Amino acid sequence: MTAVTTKSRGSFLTWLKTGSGILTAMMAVIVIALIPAIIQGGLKLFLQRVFDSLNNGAVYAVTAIALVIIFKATTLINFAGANIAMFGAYVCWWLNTSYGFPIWIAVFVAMGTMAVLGSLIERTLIRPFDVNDHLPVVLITFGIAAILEAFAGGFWGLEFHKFPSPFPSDPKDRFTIAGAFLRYETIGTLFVMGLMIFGIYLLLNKTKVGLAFRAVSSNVESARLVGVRTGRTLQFGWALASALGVLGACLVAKQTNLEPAFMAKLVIFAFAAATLGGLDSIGGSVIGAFIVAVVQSMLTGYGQEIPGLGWLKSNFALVLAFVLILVVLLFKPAGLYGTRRIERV
Amino acid sequence: MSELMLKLSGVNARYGAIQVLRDVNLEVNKGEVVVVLGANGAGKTTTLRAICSMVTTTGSIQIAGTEVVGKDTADIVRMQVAHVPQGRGTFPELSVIDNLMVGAYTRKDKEVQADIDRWMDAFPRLRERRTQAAGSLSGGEQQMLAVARAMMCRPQLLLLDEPSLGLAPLIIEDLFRRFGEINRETGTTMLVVEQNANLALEIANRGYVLEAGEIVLQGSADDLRTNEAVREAYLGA
Amino acid sequence: MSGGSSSGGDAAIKPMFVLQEGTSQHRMYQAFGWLCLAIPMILAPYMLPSFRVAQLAQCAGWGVAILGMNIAIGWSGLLSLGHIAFCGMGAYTTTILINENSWDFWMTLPVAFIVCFIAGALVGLPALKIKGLYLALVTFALAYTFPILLKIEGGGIARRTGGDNGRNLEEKLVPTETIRKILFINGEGTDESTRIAVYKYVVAVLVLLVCFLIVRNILKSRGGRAMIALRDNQIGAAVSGVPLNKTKVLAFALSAAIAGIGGSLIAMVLDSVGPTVFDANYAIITLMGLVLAGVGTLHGAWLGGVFVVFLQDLAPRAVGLIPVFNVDVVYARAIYGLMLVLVAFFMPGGVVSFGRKWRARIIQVQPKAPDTSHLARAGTGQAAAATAAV
Repeated sequence: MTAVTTKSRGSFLTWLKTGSGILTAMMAVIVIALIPAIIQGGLKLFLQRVFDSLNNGAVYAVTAIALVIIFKATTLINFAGANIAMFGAYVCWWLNTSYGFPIWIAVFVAMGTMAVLGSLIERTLIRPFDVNDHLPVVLITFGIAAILEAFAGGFWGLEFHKFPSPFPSDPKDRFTIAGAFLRYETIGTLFVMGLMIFGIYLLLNKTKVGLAFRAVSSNVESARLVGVRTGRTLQFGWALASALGVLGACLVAKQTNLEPAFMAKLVIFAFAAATLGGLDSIGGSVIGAFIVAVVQSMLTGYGQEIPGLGWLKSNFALVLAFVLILVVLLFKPAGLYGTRRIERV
Repeated sequence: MSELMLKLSGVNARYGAIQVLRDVNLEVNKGEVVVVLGANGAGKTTTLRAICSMVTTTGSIQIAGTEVVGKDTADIVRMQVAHVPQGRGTFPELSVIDNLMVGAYTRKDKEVQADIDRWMDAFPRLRERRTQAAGSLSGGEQQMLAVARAMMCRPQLLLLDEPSLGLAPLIIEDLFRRFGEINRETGTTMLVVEQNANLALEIANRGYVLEAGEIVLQGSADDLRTNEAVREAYLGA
Repeated sequence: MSGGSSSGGDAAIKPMFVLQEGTSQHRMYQAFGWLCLAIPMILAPYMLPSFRVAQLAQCAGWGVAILGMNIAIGWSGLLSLGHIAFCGMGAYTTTILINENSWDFWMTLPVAFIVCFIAGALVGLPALKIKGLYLALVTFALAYTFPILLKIEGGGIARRTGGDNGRNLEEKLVPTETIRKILFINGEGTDESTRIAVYKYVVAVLVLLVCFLIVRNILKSRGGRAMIALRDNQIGAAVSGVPLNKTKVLAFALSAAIAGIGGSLIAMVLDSVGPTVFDANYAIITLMGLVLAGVGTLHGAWLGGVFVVFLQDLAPRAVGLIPVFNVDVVYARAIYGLMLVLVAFFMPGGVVSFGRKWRARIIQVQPKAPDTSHLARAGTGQAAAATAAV
């Protein structure tokens, strides 16, 4: 008996020293630190904070998937992705408010437009370069981000614009669960996200282009040798990622309002989500997105009651996301569900 | 007597500033198994890569009478050329079934499923592991998968790049027996690059010897087997 | 990248002049080159109006920052998008020490160096041990996070940094009587603001010069060769005995520290700091300055500083010339972005490499025959080859 206990304790300690152990321990510390504040605040407040975080979680997930798709296929991080999404949201808003397009039609048109733009970017600006030579590609995506931000500001002004909600958004449009409000908007966002993930699953696993995409992600050279046109497949990846990004931006724009930098800030949460879940794992990044969103909501909500964290306010959540990226890279670089062996050098 | 499947004439190939192939002339008849022998760095792999347009090439390469130099790899594959690259060339993150499916990527007929069954019958281990990720298979299983995947496009020309690399002797023997069977049963033309000259010459009709990017010797398998220079360099006798 | 290959590549075109390395002609040619740089640099503050002098001082400040970025991006191949945050840390360190602790400006520089060195190591450590674009990801996030970090109220951070409004330097840099005499700014005909501008210019240029020389010597040292070897061929460097992780983290920390010195200079020149000078917008501008001037070239540093300052002047005007776009300032950012894209396509080595290519058509310097007696003790042959690329 004693031997067994020591052994299990030993393996627990060993586990605790691994990357996942350290990450879990840190999470546990945060949760324990929050418990008194949660109990004091009561169930209603707790539920409310969970509900509030779901919306963010869904948006982070959509944005993170857009990043993961391009990373999986090319090991590139698309720094232009956030601003492609931002620009799409502007297009959607513009079609809706200036030309009277119904909101969902406007969303789809914007997604299509940006998909075309994304695939054009891949074809003309990314494909001429060797993906293993990172500098030019990073410069180009970073440059495109700057250009799009400038044009959005130039066309539509630097001021905040109210974005129409794609869901019933009257203050009365909500369920009440144990006193906490679950808004229809939140449910709608979650629903669209679920639908989208299902759609991506079908696209990648049940279609020929999805098979080609997975083949290219797995082994570019062999993909060419079975006749996959790798360039076109990557172009498809860019189009898909751009369209998804626009969808994410349209889902969140109601809360953040439109301004040229609104997605660039949000994308850092998506980075954090994708890093936590694994930059090459779609499912992992969805889980990572909800963890990030819940932790964000809890820490900024209850954090002020923890000694020493009184300064935590919602606009400092970005700092938390940044710290999370560093911590994950330090202890578990492949993320929770990353499949590709992250090469240490 | 028979038609030419593959004809390389005056082929030069280079990686950047380094020339790897010099004036290579090589012919493979329909239905033949031809082996290319040579030491490391002699240009064997590059020869296969040149055929698939994966390296900068000049000269003339004809597959079943069609010039392919300068064509896109994907288009060459569509001429039913399958290439099993060195180091397996499977898709490690994809399941065994998906690997076979992607092998049939260029096909549009309805018999893909039947072919999958056929190759799983030929390699029963693949059936056992059909839902596993290819990366989790053993080296020998991965090589079988790579060959089955290549056969899925119903190739008229199969290019095999050092299929014995890193495998245990028993598995290599089994593998080469399979190549012989495939060639007899399907009539697939094969161009095999190999260091294990003994086995390769057993299934081959003819062979070429590459040295420093040039063909220095060619002849029937029997001729090569008895050739003094070949025996010394590649057969370890 | 395209460091030293220019002379070999254009072998087909006969240059007009060929100089032998080490001959007196070659030395004269070198001296002429340096004079062409030095004379305008010395005369500029006395010839130009004071606001131009102040701009030139800013150029020197950004030049130091870009020199720092270049250590990471150019010579070590570590892709960073967020060096602007280290600049900011340097600038705020200087400001806070001067304002809160009444330190002398000169004394704040070593502290800024150390603070940014540590910050660089902390940010670099997690991202650098993994292959791939993770450093770019982390530093991108840092560029967006830094302005928000400044506004944190805990620990008195926001009070010390001034939050949204930033802070003015309470103790401005004023030349002493002796310095005025040395610099010839004690006479009449100039007002006090011009004199201060000249003095600041001299200080900034001196610091730039010192940093330039330090970096040049580092690049020639063992550690510098290790950095370059690591950029060109990681596996090759590793098997030659370069400790990858240590070299990377040290190189990144050093680059952050020098960028921090650049930030201190900028604070000194502007007499103020604020979150908008060290935000994502400036991350793009400084990156543009660096790549346009020349990634991995020493002279790219000061030239990059010039681009950073003057393109901010020129870009809105250039946009103003296009009748369709009326909001010049907003579209200026598109020009910075466009520059990044164009440089990647057409001028991967920036203006400096481009200039070298043209120079090679006119003047070619033939290197001395290598002294083989060195090889016996040089040890790492690869590193020796890498020196040629500097």
